[in-house]
Amino acid sequence: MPAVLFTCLASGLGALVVGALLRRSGSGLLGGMALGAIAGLLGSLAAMIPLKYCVLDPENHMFFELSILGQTITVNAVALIGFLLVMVVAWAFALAIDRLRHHWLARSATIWKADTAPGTFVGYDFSPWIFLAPTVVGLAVFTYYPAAQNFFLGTQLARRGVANTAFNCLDNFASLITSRLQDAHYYILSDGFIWHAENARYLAVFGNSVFFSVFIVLVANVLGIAIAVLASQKIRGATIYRTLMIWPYAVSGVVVGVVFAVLLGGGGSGFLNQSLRFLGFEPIPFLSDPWWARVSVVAAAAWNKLGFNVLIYIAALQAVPRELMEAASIDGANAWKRFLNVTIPMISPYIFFVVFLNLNYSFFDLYAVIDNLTEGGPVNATTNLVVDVIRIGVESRDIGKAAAQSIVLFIVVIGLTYMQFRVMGRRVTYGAD
Amino acid sequence: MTALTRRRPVNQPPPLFRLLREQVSAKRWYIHILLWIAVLFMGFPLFYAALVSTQNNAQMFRLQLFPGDSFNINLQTVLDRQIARLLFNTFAVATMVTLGKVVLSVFSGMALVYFRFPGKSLVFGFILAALMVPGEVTIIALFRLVALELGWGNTWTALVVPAVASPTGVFLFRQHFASITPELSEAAQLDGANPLQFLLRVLLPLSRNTVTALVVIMFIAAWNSYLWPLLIVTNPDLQVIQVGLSTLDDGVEIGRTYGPIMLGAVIASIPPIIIFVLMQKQFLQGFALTRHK
Repeated sequence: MPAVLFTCLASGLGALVVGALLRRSGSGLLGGMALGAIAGLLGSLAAMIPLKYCVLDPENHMFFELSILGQTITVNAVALIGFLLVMVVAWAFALAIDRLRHHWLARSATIWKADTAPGTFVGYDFSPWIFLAPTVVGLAVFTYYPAAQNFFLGTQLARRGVANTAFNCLDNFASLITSRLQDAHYYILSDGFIWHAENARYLAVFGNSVFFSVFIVLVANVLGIAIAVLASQKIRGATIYRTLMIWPYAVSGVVVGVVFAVLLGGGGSGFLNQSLRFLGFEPIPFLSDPWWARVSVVAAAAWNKLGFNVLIYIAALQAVPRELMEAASIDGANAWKRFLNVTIPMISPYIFFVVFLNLNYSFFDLYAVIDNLTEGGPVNATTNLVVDVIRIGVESRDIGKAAAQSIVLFIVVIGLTYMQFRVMGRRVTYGAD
Repeated sequence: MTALTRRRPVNQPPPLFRLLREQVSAKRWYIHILLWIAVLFMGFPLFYAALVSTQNNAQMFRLQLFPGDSFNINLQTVLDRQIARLLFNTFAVATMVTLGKVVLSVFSGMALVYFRFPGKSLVFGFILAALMVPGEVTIIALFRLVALELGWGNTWTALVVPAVASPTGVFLFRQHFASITPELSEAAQLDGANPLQFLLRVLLPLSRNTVTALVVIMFIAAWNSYLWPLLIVTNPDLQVIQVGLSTLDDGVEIGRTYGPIMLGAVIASIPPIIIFVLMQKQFLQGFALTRHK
């Protein structure tokens, strides 16, 4: 009975939300409400049937305290996540139905009818499938199956090395927001202005990821463009300079971590601190202070990526037509103004390209650097999302919880990709293609 | 001054532009200085690692800025710790992964461009959508699949097989093949060539740059991969250099001995750096679409 009520509620909510949204964008109210109701119905069924409506069972509930502007309220984490889950799935259904409604006829004609491009081989009906089979099977087994498996494991109590699992509703997800900090001092975003500090463990790890991403992208791109501008001047030996600057790209994260550990830490007296002491300054606790440790990770990762950025930006700058710069000089623009008003707009597609690659790198590929530089410490100050997945899934052997975190990562990827398409889709330059 | 005596370019610019360029060239000495600072800044970490690889701990902690006398000892330590084995394993695995990726991508790209079959765009979408899933997102479930369900723990199969299907590669070759004029394959068909002959005799010779690009990107990525071998391989005889690096300690002194580890770090970085520097042009071409999968 609560299940039926729940489904009806989801449909009604969907009808209201989508109806209101479509009305604002000028489409019909009734059509929007029907679409929203169907999406809410399908969404709640698709999200709740696999979960056996366990969210409605008070036995599964977990609570945490949320303090907003000094007011402390108790929130049911399982119900909150269940609600968000239904919303997301319903939203996906709404988008999909809308798409299908608009494009079904046109697309159905093109999907199944083979295109008539010239130059295709005739009379080999079977061989393309043989050519494609290894790739398709490989991706299905080693990419899509594990990705789907995450959704199953996320709702299970699963231990590493044990084949059996047991259903535990949304506990793995709820524990992300209810698990408590050991030491609030070591986390970002834990001073209580958004979340109560004691409940912020996962949010803090998330905060580390965001911190790394923002600053790695900033440092690697500002320095990358600056160096590329210097290196792409018409000077003698430009190719030699370029070669001498781009090679760090090929250095592995492990080597970066190990070498920077010697530079910054090295058993408490790394190269930098010895130099500082030699010059009469106080040593800096690069790897033992939470904030300095974060800065160290950013420095190491940015150094690793800088070479690649320089390479791409040099190529971008060489594609800027000289006539434009000369025209700007004739109009009286000084070097700085030419850079801001001509160079930057002309290379902006490359900037977006590099920024998104760097973002993906700093969200997902930092494990080797962090593991060899700080090992996620001090305490958990440099633990980011991926390091936490490995800590929990492999070292703490809690596969279910790690799978739940992987799903959060997956949502981040989808967000990044969506942003990428939105930004790249727009025209970001004038005149160049 | 040098600008005035230099031979004039073929496309001689109008006087005003020449004046502007000479103004710029007068300032060039400081561009050189800035560039050298950048080069030193970029090179310093690995240069310092190379320096430490010739020193013992005492010399390193003394902040000695010239080579020490321990290079031979460090080399011996590293060799005793099976660095040759680690390097060979890494080379073998990276080569197999790269080769597999190139072969599978060429065949898939060919199927997507030179054949008609129902559901082609769906298959392409299926392959391309995998670009969106970074390995780190699926790694826990993949570990469970490979170690528990397939029982491939501690084998090279586990390092190679899950990595050989490459959406990036398929996309790269599809784009490249689509840019080749269709008259070529029509001519080949008129001459009675079957698809395999066309691939070997016509398509591959035309694809040398694309193949090189993919090889550079994928070999470097495979050589540098760390997390997956760290999880799935625990047998030191099968391990790769990136994971084995921290075991290059001499095991005698208390705490870490940095010389051997730095030596290992330098040695492990040489192959990918050489490949990258030599192939930077092809690398750049291949990087139109990326995410190293």
